[in-house]
Amino acid sequence: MKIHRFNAFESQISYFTSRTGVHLPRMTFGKGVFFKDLGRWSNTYDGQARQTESVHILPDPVQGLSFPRPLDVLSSALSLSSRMVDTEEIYGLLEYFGLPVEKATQPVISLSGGEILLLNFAKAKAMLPFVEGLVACSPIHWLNENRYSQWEKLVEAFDKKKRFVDVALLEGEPFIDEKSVRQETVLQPVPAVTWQLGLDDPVVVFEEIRFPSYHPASRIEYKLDDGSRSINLESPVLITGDNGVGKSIFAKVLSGIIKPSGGSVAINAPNGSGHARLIFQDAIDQLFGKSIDGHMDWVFRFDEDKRRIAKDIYAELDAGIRNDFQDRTEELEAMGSQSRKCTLLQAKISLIAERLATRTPVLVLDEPGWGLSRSIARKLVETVSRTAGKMHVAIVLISHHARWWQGMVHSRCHLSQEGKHTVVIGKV
Amino acid sequence: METHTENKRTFPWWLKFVLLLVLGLPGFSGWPNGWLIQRLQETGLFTVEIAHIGVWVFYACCVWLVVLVSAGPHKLLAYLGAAFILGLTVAILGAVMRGLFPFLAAGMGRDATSFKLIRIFFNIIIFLPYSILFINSFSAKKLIDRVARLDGRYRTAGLHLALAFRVFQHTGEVVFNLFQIWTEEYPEKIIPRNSGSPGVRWYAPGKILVWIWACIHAWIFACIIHTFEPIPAMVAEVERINRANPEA
Repeated sequence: MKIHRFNAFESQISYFTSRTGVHLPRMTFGKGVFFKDLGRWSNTYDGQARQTESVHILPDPVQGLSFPRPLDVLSSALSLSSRMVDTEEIYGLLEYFGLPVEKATQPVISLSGGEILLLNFAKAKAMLPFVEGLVACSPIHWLNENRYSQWEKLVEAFDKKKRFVDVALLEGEPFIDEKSVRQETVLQPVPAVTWQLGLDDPVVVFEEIRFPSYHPASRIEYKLDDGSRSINLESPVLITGDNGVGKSIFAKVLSGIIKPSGGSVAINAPNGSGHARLIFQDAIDQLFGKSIDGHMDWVFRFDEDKRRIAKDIYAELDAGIRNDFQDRTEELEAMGSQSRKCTLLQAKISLIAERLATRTPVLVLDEPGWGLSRSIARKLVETVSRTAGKMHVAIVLISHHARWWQGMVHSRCHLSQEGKHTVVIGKV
Repeated sequence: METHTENKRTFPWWLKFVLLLVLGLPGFSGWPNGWLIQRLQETGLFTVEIAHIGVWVFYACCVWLVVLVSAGPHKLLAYLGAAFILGLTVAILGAVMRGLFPFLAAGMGRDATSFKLIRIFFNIIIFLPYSILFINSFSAKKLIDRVARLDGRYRTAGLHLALAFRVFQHTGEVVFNLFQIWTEEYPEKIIPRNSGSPGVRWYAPGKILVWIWACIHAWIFACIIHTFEPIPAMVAEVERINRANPEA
């Protein structure tokens, strides 16, 4: 297995493109650059050019899945080397990588990030007889530590068949040697914001899907482990839990994107009550197809004051991070140019600044380290937590990498499955 | 296994195709709606406009019933929500534009213009849910597999069409994701979250038009960009399937 490490997401993408021939149009520059990139790809694309036949895991793993349901994805992968595909073989692959067979007919877009990654593993294994190797970007970033063995199983299968495995990681990114990584410290403690989360047995129901094929309805009920109706927390709060347990769904409930079918969730924070604001795992999508500055201008089109505040917050966060990397040119380069914002990091800072400017009670960062090197991710979260602390905004981090945020978080909650439909939230 | 047996309960693709074509027949050919309108007029009880509206409302109910049975009540409501918003936006903007620029409706009477806008509105609220049902009723994967096993000149064209079909399907997934992002940004959906700057009234007549136009513009481009984003990866996937099934 060859491992390549990069300081910036953009360098990782460039490497991936050069290695696989798959172009990923840039999304942070706005529509002009996007269409130019797509046009360039279309003009230079040569379907007959012989690339090394390999299976890919993209930085955003959902992009490597071209079909809408796991059943289709795996059936297509298996059909590359076999004319008859047995459904039991598909179920077997899902189970091999720790995914329940019920997931076979669930739409890919409704799977969690970790489940999508595991589905990519299953697809890679299904394609093993047909390909010469595997090119994977950040292959375990969205996995819980107890799932790292799934990646090891996949690599072992490729090794056994003498296929190459090429991995592109970001510096300091978790990998199978994560457990041996040093303890992290922060020089100055991050200010704490005390707030209360109320849970009145919220239930989220996912309706059955009837076409093109059937997928049964399902539900998740969130409860506190001690049976109480509220929990006192000190921000920054870290939320952990296994893949597919419902962390991102919980974040969407907190931010009002998903309305519980029964029960309720209540936030009581220094900035008031109401819904949290959320930065998604794949934050680039939240630019809504606009450039970083274009999005900020669009959101604050009717509110000059907040736009000014958001721009000030952006400058403060940007300066806070840059100051700490004064002597580290690689990190400074990875942060991108100050004159033209275009990196994933700058997109995240901008989206965070926009949300802090609205004085939200709680800001949820879902897997904030995705697409960032460890040092930059830590500095981003630390700087955001300090700025948010000054504004009395509580921060919630949803992450599989508790070690990344050591010395930074004041409370930690763990989500665990109890029975088929209940998720228990416990303070660790 | 429950999911396995349920999968086998679905119609064969050709039967679905025929049923959906029959359902869409009035849209493609105007028959039998035109014939029914004529019969209603001949009774002398209805004007041509009332007959038109009555028949098309009845047809809309038939389409919605099929969507309800196939996709369930939640999907039907979601499709209808999108269709009514789009239909009303087009009809209202159409009326405003025709008022501002009368040459757009040159040669048409006032009633004929209004009636035309009503027809456009009906077409949107009927054929948007129908189109979504149609596109999502078939498996792009199976279509690509079938085409990849063809020989001859139709193979390449077929693969392009199958890919285009999958891209259309992907639009639905993109809208679902964008809707979540939009809801996070604008919880009230049609009202800007940040509208409280002193002295600024976003709902002032000029500004509200700017806001609506900017929303339509943002949605159109976001849908296009996010739909097109995975095309290179999808093309690579289809090419791989193509290579795995060499022509005889």
